[in-house]
Amino acid sequence: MSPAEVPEAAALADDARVRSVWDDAIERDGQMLVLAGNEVSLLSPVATELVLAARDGISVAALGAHLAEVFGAPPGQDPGAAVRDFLAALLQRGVIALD
Amino acid sequence: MREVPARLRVLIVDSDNAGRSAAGERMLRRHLASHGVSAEEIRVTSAGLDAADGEPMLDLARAEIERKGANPAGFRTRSLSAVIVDAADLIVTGTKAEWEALVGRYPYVARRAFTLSELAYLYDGAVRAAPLAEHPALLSRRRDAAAAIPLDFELPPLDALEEHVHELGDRIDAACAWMAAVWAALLPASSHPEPSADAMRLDAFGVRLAVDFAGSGVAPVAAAARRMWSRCLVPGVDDAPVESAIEVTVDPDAEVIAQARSRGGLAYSDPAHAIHFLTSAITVRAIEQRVGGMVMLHAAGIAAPTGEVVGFIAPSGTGKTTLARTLGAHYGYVTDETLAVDPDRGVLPYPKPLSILERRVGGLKEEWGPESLDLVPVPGAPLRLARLVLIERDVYADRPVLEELPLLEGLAHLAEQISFLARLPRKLHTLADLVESVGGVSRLRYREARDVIPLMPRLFGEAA
Repeated sequence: MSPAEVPEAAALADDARVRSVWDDAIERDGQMLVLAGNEVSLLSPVATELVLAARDGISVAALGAHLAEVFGAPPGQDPGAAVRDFLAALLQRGVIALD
Repeated sequence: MREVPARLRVLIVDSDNAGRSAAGERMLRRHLASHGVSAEEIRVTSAGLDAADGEPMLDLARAEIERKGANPAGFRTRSLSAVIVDAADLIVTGTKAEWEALVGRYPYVARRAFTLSELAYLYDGAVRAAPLAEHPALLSRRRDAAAAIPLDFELPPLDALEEHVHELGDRIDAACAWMAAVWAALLPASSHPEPSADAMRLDAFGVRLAVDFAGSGVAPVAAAARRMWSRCLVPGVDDAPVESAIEVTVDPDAEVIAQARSRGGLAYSDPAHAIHFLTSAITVRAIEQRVGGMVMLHAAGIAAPTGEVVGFIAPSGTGKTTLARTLGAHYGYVTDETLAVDPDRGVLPYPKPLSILERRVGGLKEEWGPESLDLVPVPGAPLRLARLVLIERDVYADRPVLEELPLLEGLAHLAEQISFLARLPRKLHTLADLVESVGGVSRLRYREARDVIPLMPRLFGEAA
């Protein structure tokens, strides 16, 4: 699938694979500043963990499980929905692409 | 003719590619062509989210295109595809609903896609003095910061179809006209400038530029330009090679303007537009000459008599010029817009004219030279960056509040105000080195620019 055929993040299947992409990054105190194209994004610790885990490509389900393992399950929210929210924001900023 | 590849690829999107997007494509092409901008420089295409391929446009759209003097010939609809989306630097949709549908399908284009109404608002009256390639990101950040932007044109009801379509045609055409004027001024000059002996020679942070004036109405513009740019003028005989040349023509004759534009020059029928666009063109062409060599911040610079420079960083239209004018009455005025810093923290001055917000001439901000505003010249001492300060107007700030920002937060704000960050040798790391060399980034909240004056010794002194 071409990166341009990305469906809405909410519709991403569990077995869809995502990969993080950036041109430069600086990590400090669990946060990361990322340059992707002309966009600069300051990532929270959860988003930082997400993009690091997705550096070599990972399925949405595995990503959700990884984040739940590192940070615990998000209170009051389905882990799958939570990871899709993060992916939606990161897709818009060009830091995540579909494999 | 200019000798550069396409600088901007614009895609106009609506649902069926038979109405708004078809009209936008043809009207924008017409206005760009009237500025002498070729399709090789700025490419404009259109497509429809749910369009069938190969259909003609609607008769109503054709009539509007012809009414505006553009050419509807040869048009056929195209369905939007991943390939088409990926080939666009800037995407313009007809309506908010179409923007949402586009971003739903291609989430990663959200920050380079705008409704036409939104784009007209974001460009309203202001030229983003930044290279065209940076406009989508700049406009997106401006959208983030804006309170409420009209996402759709307000139009007469569809019951009054003719009135509705005419009004829509007028709005599309007006937006296209302004965008074409802005973009045309910001395209690079010919790669082989040959300025005349009488050209106005300028030094813009070490970049040598030449400006030639032409046309029957240009005399007041030439005189005003020499006055406004007096601090950047290169005096006497200048042997330094010219790196970029601009020709400005002011003439009431449309044929003269067309000829000047076909040569790649800036040409207008009135002096106000010539002055306005000249300033942006000089800035952008100078920036393009130093890509990758210097950190170029969208910042005002103010210098102490001993040469320490404080850079005040903020997006366009948020107080840099007012602050530069106020502080520049007491300390050296380095620039109000582009602060160029070399790898050794040396600052190269760019004391350009200042856009004064209070007055507008023909819908454009009025510009004044630093000499006319009686600003203090830069000191003779070498200029060196001493401090970087993000500025934020706060009407509730009883007194100015200065706070240090964590490194990444400071860098994140700063990185948004850098030209060609991605072309710096070590990208974010180059910026981080600069920031750490001046002790980090501070944020200054203040109510009035004059409130900052008493802080200046501290800002210079702490870092010096």
